[in-house]
Amino acid sequence: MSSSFDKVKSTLPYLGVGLGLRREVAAETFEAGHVIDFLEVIPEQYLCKGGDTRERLNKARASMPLVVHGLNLSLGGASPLDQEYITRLKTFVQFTDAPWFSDHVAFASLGDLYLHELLPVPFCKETIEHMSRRIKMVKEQIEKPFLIENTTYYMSMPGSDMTEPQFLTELLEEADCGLLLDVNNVYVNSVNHGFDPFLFLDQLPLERVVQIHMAGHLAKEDIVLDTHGAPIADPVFDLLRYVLSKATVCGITLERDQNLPPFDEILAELSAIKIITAEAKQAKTSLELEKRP
Amino acid sequence: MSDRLHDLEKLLVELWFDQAFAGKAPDIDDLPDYARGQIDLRRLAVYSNVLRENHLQVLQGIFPRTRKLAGQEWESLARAYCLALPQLTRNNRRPDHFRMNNTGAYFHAYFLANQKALAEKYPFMSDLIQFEIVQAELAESDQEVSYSIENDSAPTVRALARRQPLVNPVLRLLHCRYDIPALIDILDDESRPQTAPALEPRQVVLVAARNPLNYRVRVVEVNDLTALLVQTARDSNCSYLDLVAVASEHCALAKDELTKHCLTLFADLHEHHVFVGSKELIGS
Ligand SMILES: [Fe+2]
Repeated sequence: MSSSFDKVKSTLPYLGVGLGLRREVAAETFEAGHVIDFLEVIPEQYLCKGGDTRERLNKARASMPLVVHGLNLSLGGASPLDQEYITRLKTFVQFTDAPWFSDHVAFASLGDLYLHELLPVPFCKETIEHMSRRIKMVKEQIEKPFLIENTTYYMSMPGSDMTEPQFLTELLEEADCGLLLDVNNVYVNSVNHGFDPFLFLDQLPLERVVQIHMAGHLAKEDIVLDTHGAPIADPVFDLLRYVLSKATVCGITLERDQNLPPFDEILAELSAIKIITAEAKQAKTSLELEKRP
Repeated sequence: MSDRLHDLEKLLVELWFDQAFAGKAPDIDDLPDYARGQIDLRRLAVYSNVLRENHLQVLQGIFPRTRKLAGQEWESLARAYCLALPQLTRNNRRPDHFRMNNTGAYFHAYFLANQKALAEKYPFMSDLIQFEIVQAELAESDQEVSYSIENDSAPTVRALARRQPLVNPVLRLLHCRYDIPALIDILDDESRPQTAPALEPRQVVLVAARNPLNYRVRVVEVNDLTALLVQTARDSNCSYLDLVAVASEHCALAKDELTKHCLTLFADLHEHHVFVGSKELIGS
């Protein structure tokens, strides 16, 4: 890694295996604090809000480390960055004491119209220029390590003339930020667009991965949808094993937003991820020992 | 880049919204040159569906009772509103547009201006929509409330003159043409027939206030005089005794009787967290 980001990454703490905090299961989440290493909070769910919502955030902050995962920077959007949002986001990131924060390679608003979805951008040089400029502005203002997440895209955008790994690699380099690698998104895209997800991972600068997202999807007849509403599928676990054999990361988060199962099932998924993490660590240690003279 | 990207995003959002909320699939011939042949129309529909589901889910979360009341007509109402959203947000810039509730923020005004037939069929729907958005906004309000328990149950006239009631900042007064709490009881009754509830018009004034201790929003019906006193207390730095004087202008009770009546009312307002404490007036 020949960037300033390697220095940044080396200062980040190892957080372990965490969970995206959701209102519906907040009580169970806090109760299971001894087996959840950290929580990922979505600022949009807390900004400008008091009452119960603020109470939940305070409780989360008091119980475990937090990372911040935003939805609405709209980094790929053509409308100007929302200064009001960034100012509030900065206060939020400071309040949570998160070691890093993240958002998506997507557009989420058109002017003041909030679209309630992360929408794709054209994979081309111009988008890289546009997005990296915006990412640098965000980094400068919020003054915390910043990660961008690879998203799902169900249609390729007109104007795309690069592959997704080419696009992400150049964007990460140009913006000099970290990658939040959503392994489920890689899998979903690989099915929808017919590529080999392992080869895809080989083409990414995995040394920039700070955090990993794990989630479930919904396979329909003609398309796979990234719903965060089902258990993690086996091929996604395989991809996680592959990434962990090649990269060192600071945290893995389970995202479950819909179709919430009994909380024990969520805990079982966290523990499956922990086992894979431990095995990867073990394998790396053995390899290093073997290499020693 | 920004111009080209802006045109593309604007075009796609228009196409997605048209398909999602008006059921109008795009015609290839209508597309601008740069997009023609490059937009996968089948996949375009995937986003239309996702956007529709997400928007309808947000609206249902804010307006669960309006949805119940509208029944089969809910989807077409919600769709028509979502179709109008791009225009509505353009005309009403809100600095905190990323708040979920803002998706529902224009619903009441939209309903009044554009849904005449539905408003005639359900004359109480407009009040219900307003009631639900107010409840959602109060529940999430980030107004700080400093709360103190009022323990002086028999204050002297001097004490009444010296002290000012503090009105809960997380509070709204709602003037409705129908008894909305009664309507909600009807809608929540799962055993009721699936027909439109019959409700006679009845002017009601409601105070919705968030309990500063458990954050639950409680709604109570008040009479016009109480509404006036709450409004006065909120809009001016007046003492309890000033409120008694305002009451005397609208009430024929004898002075002692009126003061006693007002003291009971003030205690009730404290109990319902309409008043959240009192403050000593400076210089009194
Ligand atoms: Fe994700």
